[in-house]
Amino acid sequence: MSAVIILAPIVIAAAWPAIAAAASAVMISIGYSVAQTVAETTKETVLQGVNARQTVELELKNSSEVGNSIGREEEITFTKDDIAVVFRRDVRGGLRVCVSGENHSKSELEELGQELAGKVIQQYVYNRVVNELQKSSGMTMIEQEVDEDETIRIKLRSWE
Amino acid sequence: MTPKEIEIEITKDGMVKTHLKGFKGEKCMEYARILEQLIGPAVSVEKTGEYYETETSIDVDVEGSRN
Repeated sequence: MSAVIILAPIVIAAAWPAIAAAASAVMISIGYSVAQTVAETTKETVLQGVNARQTVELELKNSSEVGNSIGREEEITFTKDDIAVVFRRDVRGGLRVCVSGENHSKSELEELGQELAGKVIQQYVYNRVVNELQKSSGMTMIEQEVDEDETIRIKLRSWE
Repeated sequence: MTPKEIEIEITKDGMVKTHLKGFKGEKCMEYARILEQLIGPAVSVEKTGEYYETETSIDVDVEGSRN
């Protein structure tokens, strides 16, 4: 054994396609459908014109917000039953999750938002590790499993 | 030669624990930097005995071999 390192993942907001891909993979796997993908069309989203809905917005603390504009706002919306979940990147790189629903309290929606945000970060990190670490380090993935508590375990090996 | 291994745990809330095995000294730090660049900053680093070993080869003169 050489070292044990705990890392706090940073979601690089400039890499919106990677974030949207991670969000899509997670949300579709648990039964959500993609409703919108482009920020400019949000006026037509399922969130508009519905007054009885509770809405919560959570900021992802581990997004890489920068001082200057990194481009236009981006967002992707998912729906399932009466729940709508929007992952949004603002022009400065801040990432937010907005959850709304008709028959849920704010605390329920907040809990759901935290859970979904965690899963998306988990998927984003997994993609980075599997795609980039193997490329940059020359290591090969030899094992992968998912625990009952949904922790993903990966083992990479190199003989160099 | 001992293989180098990295075990990675990604919890469902996105926290990451990595366990580097078979890496010594500077090589360990090199991979730690790669992981930080890919994932994010280290909040905790625990170096173990093997970390302080160096990857060097040693020439040994055996007494009888000189004759």
